[in-house]
Amino acid sequence: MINKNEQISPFLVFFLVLKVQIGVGVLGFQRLIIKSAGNDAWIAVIAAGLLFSIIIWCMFTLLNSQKQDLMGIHTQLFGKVLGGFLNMIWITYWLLMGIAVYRAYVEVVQAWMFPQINVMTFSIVFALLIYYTVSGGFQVLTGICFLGVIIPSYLILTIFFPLEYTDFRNLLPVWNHSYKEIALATRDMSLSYMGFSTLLMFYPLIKHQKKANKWAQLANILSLLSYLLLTIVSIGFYSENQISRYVWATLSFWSIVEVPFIERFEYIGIATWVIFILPNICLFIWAATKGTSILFKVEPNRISILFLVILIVMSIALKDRETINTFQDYMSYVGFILYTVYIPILLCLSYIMSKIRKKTHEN
Amino acid sequence: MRIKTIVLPSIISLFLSGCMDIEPTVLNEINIATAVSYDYIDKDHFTSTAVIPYYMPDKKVNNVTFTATSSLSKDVRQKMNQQTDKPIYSGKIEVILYSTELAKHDLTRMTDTLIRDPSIGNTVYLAIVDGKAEEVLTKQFGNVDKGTYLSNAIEHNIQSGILPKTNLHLFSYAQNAEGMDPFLPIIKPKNGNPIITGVALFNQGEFVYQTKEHENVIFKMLVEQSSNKEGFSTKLGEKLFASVYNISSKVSYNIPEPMTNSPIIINLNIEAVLREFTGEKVDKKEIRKIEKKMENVLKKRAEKLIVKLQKLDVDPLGVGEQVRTRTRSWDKKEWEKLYPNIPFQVNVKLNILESGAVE
Repeated sequence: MINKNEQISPFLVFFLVLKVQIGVGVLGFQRLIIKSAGNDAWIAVIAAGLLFSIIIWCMFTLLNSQKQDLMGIHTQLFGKVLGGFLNMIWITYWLLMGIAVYRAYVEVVQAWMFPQINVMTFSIVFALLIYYTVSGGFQVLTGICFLGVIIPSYLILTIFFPLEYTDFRNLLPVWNHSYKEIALATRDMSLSYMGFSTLLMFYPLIKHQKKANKWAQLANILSLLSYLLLTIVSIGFYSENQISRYVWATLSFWSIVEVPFIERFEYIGIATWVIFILPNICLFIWAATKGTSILFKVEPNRISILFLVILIVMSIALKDRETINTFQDYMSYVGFILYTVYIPILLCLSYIMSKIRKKTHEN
Repeated sequence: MRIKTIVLPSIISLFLSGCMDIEPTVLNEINIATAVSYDYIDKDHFTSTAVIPYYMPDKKVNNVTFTATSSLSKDVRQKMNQQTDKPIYSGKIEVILYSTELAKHDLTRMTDTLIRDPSIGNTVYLAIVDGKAEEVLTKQFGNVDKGTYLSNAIEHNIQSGILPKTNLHLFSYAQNAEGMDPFLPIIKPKNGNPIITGVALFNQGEFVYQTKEHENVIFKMLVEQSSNKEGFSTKLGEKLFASVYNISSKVSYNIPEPMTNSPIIINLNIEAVLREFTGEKVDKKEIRKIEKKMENVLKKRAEKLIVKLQKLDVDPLGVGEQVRTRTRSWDKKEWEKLYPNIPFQVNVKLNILESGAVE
């Protein structure tokens, strides 16, 4: 049984979910959704947010009824072999997500600050930081998530700078795109909301589990609002063809920021972003580590070292924009299926199985 | 054990962070360019001049220029670096000048490098030089850093002069927008001293027209909601002049039937203060008279300017954007066909609030 001292208060789930949702994607999600939905992209942001609200509800219903983490649910429903295989899929997904987030951040650093940065040494230093957090246990991780929300939150103030050049007339005419285009944008947007699947692993570590749903929903709504604000300002700030050229539209906001004591704000923003994405990556690596250690009954620290070595090797192997982009596209595609198809199916299965079991029990 | 897990990683990180291959850029080991100019040579080549301020111990500023010729902007920097003792950095560039000759041959390919290079800010000022762009940078004037001087000159003319808001971001915005064309300020060197003379209008990326002096004020009013100190004067009758300055002006569009040949109505509401009057006494009746007269003059100037813009087939006012945001499934090509023939009607409403310290 889990030690009470290792558990966290349910309101901290708010920070865990919020942190893992708003990651490196914020820097450039606008281009993808505006490409298909144009000035109606903000509708897609709301649609995707509501969709994920439902999925969070699905997850909690599933977890509340089973009262164990995903690994346990899998083995209980599908048995050792098939369940183990499904567990492997999720573990690989979390590990690769961690790598995707990390590599995306390094790409930003390479493109904006130091093109000649040595990815290997940077990765080793970063991996040590991740190892420190992950090996410290889940409470340390939660602490880092909390700080990861609080410290960079001042960045939201920078949204006032582009307002001077924003023409909100660009939002008109509303609903100028077909359902298909908006649905496409909603799918592209969903990548930005993903990540809270780690909830499936840390659920047993929450104290009053039934209360946590509320906090997770609240976090989802807050991410929705931040994405919505950024999208609306982006639509007004850029013309449509212009934004399709900017890979990191949010970063380009910062190059309009002028304050007396600093000429170029991007450098501060990108540096702050480390604190933003560190908990994000740590949570993914933690989930993957935890899953593997349960699956193969190995000591978690050894596995996290192995995973970090994979992280370093992969981030060196993914060299240029194109491979990184393809990798991220695959990840978002797989993620979309895992969240919107797999989780609801799993919920149905678990419901049916529990009904059947009840019946056999009664008989 | 616990201490080991904390201390060991920190020590490793400390040493490793030195091996990240990050090129240090110490301030006194680099040359910081503050302004760059581009001049036309032939279809594929241009000359580029960068100006670098050297701050002397006796508080003098020496503006040193480097010139090189190439067909790509970043090649030019390489060639300039061959002439200097320290590498040139572009992070502090404040103004970029293009000659009219170059601007006539599509600026799009020139601005690409500015947007692509993250070290150049979005608030950089672009400007067109009437004549040779190089001249503005190479001639010494005053004891100031040239890039800062030019950027201040443009900035104060935006805040309280004839220039509408302009910078790299707005230029690229208008260039990429479907129903809008960009504009840039024009600078004319006079004995080496740069003078801002008006606005250069572009068709996509090509320079086509330079506004005349009497068009500048009305152009600014039509482009943006301005609240500035630029004034305008009118002749009211024989030896009777009045001059007002504009406190705030608001432009709004009334398009009853978008994407048709029906007229587009532009409403211009101006609040102003009387600044100079050569008549005898200013009373209510007189003010009404001045208002009416000026409204007429402004209306005529605005309508004339718009007809000129239509003839040139440029749309710096963004009328196309106004129509686009009022139409569902807008068709750019159809609008381009319509634009030159749409009748415009400008309604000016001038309100003189004060007549100054005397009656």
